[in-house]
Amino acid sequence: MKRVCRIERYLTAYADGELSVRLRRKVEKHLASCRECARELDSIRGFDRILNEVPTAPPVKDEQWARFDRILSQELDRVERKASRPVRLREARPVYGDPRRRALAAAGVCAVAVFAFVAIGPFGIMNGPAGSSGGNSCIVESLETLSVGYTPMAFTSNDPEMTIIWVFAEEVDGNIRGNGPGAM
Amino acid sequence: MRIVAKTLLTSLIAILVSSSLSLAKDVTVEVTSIAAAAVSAEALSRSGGPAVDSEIEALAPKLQSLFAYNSYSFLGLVRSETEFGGSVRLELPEHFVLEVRPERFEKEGIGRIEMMVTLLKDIRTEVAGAGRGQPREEIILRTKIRLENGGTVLLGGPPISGGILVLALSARG
Repeated sequence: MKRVCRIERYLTAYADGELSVRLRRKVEKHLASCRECARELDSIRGFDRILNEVPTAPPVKDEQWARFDRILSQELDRVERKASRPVRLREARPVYGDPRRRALAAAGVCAVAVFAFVAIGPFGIMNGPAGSSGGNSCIVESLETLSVGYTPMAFTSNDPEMTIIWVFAEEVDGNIRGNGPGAM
Repeated sequence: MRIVAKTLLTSLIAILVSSSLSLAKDVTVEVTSIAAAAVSAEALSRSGGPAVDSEIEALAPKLQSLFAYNSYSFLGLVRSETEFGGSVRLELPEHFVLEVRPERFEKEGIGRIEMMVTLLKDIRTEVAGAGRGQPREEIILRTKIRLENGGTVLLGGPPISGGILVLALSARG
């Protein structure tokens, strides 16, 4: 079982330079003799380095935020609709007691935010929800035909902003569907 | 303490659910039927008429930038009202029928009308010995869409006598 040093709780504050002189000396003295805490301190500093290396995002224009909001709203709608089963959440446990856990949680949130920004943000690589073919004015949830000789497809145009649902008529027995002998 | 927390959580969930639920509301559905065709320049100049009928002038810029056709003829406009959960059946030219069934109104965001749209063709099949046709409908297209309140979606593709049928479907709740 891992031995827990009393000094360990001060390591994050020590790494951030937030300790008083007296406490800092006490920690330094302890670090000289405790390899466990020295390793822990290295880990905290390594973590801080990673956080500091996260690049700062360029300034974002209003229309870019509007587009981000729109795409995020569509994606949330889609996810909400897909969630057909109720999920029992595990009992939440507070993470703010331990400074290291708090740092890990903050890093996790940062990572998710950065990923979301990169994926669907104003400069995002994803243009919209993959499962739908709608623009802003219309989202196509499902599409089908029950007749032989027709193939329905949905398209979205950005300029002008319009969703088009097109039924392609195929040739059946030498006649274009819809103008064939069966039609009126 | 746990009871208070549970009560608060339940209230919060109830508020969120009720705010996202659709409200009973009437919907006005409008369909403009258009025949799109690609005609030769000679034929256009012979007819002397405009390539786009005046009734659909508002739609013309969109149609012309979206499709490669150069002639758009107005065939008709039908408008009807229904309620969420109900359905409306719109008779279109050349025995086409559009059935629209608004299912719910999404209040959040820009406001959308979720609806089931079915395009049918009323055909008659000869019944042996009967000597007259039996009414029958063929489902050409069935789609579920979430249309922005007051927005328009274009449906089209089936060939008709004057070209290709294009429908501009709008709904306002």
